[in-house]
Amino acid sequence: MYEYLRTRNTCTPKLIVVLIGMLLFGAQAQAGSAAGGESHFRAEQISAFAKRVEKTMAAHGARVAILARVGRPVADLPDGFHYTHVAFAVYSQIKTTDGRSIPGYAIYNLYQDAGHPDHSSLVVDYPADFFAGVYALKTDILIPTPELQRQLLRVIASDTYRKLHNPAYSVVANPYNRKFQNCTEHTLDVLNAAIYHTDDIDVIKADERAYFKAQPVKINPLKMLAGMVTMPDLKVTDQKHGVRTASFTTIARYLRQYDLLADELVVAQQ
Amino acid sequence: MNRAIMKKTVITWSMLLATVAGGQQAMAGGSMQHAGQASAYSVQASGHAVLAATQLTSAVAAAPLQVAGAVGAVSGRAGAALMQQANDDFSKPLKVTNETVTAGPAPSTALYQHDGK
Repeated sequence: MYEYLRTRNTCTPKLIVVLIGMLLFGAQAQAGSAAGGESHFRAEQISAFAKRVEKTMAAHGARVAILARVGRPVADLPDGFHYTHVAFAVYSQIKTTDGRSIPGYAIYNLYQDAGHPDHSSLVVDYPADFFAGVYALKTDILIPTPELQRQLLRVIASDTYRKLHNPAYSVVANPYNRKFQNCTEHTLDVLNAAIYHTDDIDVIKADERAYFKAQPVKINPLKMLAGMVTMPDLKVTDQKHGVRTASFTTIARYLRQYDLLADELVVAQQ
Repeated sequence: MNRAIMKKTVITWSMLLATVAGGQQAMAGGSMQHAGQASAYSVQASGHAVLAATQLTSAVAAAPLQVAGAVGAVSGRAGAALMQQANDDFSKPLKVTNETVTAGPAPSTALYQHDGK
């Protein structure tokens, strides 16, 4: 959109540039993606909920699970989206700063960079960090079959996990190509690296085009235009025939459809 | 482009941008970030520091407990026991600590947590 404005209005005065600047500034103020976002629950509530999620996974013997969180108000989520962030939880031996080793889950995330939301990094944190800042104390847990868990452990502990990361971030990244990536697409790519025993992203994308059904993103066109102008992490140049992206729901459906899911659990504040 | 056409163009684009700006707030709260908002939070960095320090356990590293061979180095007798547990039947429950483990604070926060000692 910005490119379109620039090319179509080469003679227009500075007003439009100023307006775009105002929109961009406003978007940055609203994005709020820096580390340490506001909390919506007391620390004790976050801590207790995170521990409950951990114990639920442990009770089911999960070595690797897929977790989701609600990072925006539920009422604002577009049709078909129930969560805003997805990551792997991996049963681990955790080394503490005081030199002890304790059992628990580490969370393997793809996070947008603070200050550069169109760029991402791979970050390991822990359940209490993962759920800090959520809008609802609720999560879905996908526990893959034991064989898929074994293969996921192999991939996550290998160079393949990082090799599959594309730092060029779009919040609606098209999972069928390599141009941009978001957290759900990275999760999907890691899953398929484990399923197909490959680190070749072209093979993974071909399999995803063949078997994975992405979530259509239904948004008011004007809002989409606004986002394209004001949000650096909203890019659709990788899309054809409508906007589609991977979501927690479509990943769950994919695993379910191909008998790769051992358990699906919901943990919510009572 | 004469002045009349230019003025009309400016007004048109201004109206469009105003419309778009009006919808922007709903957008920021209602669309893109929902599909995959993926921002880092840390309990220690996000105002959750109200938790007493003794209730949080800071981690320096985590090694996955691999089935059929260690991926990360597990150490000591406790590590060996955990490894044995991880190799057991996948339907068996696993042990997890009761401590609340957290990553360290973000660099921007950590810098100001020291008291100059």
